[in-house]
Amino acid sequence: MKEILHELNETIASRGAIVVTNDGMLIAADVREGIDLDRLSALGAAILSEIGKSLQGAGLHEFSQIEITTEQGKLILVEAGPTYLLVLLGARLEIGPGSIEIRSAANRIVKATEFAASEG
Amino acid sequence: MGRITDLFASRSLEAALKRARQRLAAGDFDNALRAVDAGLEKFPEAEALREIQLTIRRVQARSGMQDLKRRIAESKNALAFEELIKLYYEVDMLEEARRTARAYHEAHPDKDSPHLLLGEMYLQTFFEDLQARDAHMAHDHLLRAARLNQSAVKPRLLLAELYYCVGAAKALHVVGRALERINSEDDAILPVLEAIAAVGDPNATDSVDGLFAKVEVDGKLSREPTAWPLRNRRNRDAQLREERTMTLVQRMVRDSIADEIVVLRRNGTPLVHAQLEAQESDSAEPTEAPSGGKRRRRVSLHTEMVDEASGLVGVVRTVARTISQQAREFDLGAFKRCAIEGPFGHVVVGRVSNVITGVHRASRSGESTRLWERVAVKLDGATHGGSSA
Repeated sequence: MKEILHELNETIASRGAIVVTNDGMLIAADVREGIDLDRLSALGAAILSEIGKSLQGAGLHEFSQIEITTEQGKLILVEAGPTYLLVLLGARLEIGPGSIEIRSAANRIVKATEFAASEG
Repeated sequence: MGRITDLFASRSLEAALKRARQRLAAGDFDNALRAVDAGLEKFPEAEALREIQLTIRRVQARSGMQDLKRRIAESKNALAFEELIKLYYEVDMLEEARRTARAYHEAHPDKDSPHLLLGEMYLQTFFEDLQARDAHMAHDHLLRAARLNQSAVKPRLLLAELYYCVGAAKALHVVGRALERINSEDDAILPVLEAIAAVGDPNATDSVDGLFAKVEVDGKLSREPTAWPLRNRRNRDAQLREERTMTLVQRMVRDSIADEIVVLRRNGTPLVHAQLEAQESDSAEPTEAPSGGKRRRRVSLHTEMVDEASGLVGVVRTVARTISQQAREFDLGAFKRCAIEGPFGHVVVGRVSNVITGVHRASRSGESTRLWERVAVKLDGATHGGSSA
């Protein structure tokens, strides 16, 4: 799974990519130098728990993707089967949750998760 | 050719933009600025024109900035520091203003002015993002500015504003007594002293640190900065903008742009909440629906809202708080927007001028970005005094 994340980072020049469970537990990661992995996974957990909880409170269940845009970067969280793929980007406006590279990585993560489940 | 462009510049936004960009590229800054102003008169909501306007002002200010930077490098001149900070503020380069204020403080640690400037900057940031660490920074710098200049009114007024907004009654009364000692006859200070006198128990035991933390956890201030007496003129402008925003939000839900819109002030208090009340139905007073049919959507509008923590209000508040905090940890700069998609359709939360807005559209068709652009352009017009409402 780390290989999928590494390829994704190389292709879209992202600063880091991680896979987390829906309760925020880190499964795999590939981050560039200078990115604190603990903080990035804490960010994923915070988004999934805080925002997920508030959405549920509003009767809006099971989000499939979140795209956060800031002045100098972007965070993308997409559903990948039972897990979520989180990608940290610089300010590249053309990359979004619908981009082929991110969709393709999410699909490969789903397959890898299914394979791991069948093996286990 | 230029004259033909000029002729059509007033007719479309594209022509106005083209004309301004051509003048800018040619280095004709005065005429570029005139072209932008003319364009903004017709298209006050055009963000692209505002960006060009800011670029021109920054370019114009650059030579003055270079001169001031040279003076600072040569002699660490205090006046040059202050002028440079002011110039950065005028062209909206807030991070540079803050960096320069920090350098000013390092160069002149015993002067009260850099502490005052930093205190004011952190106070403004605290009112916008409600993070306790900004309140601490504002508090420390303002206290130091007040200690370094025993007769200075401004740091004490700003401290009083901070205490008033977080609900620190005891500290507020202490500052009030200091202001009274300095000048109780001043017309500017009198309304402040009255406001302080009207606030609770002067002997209350409040921990300022605890109150800062409470603001961050609750996502709201104890009292709004707009209630502070020295903000009256700003209040009137803000009130007009808020009225325009309310009308516009109701109209956007009625016109099917969104099914629910929530607008919060930057300090987290709700301004307006418009929600589709019932599905489209026939009406005696039909409205043109986007599909072309004559339909009317009933919209419930709440302005005097109970401070909801659930529903879309809760989502907007949580997103703004969580993301602003996390974005800082990764040096991502200020939060702009968060688009969420799921079986429920689209939810977008974002900042427009001085408000935080949440939009929900149940239909899964279309893009979140387009939904946000439609809402943001209209709201931007209302909050900047435009006519798109």
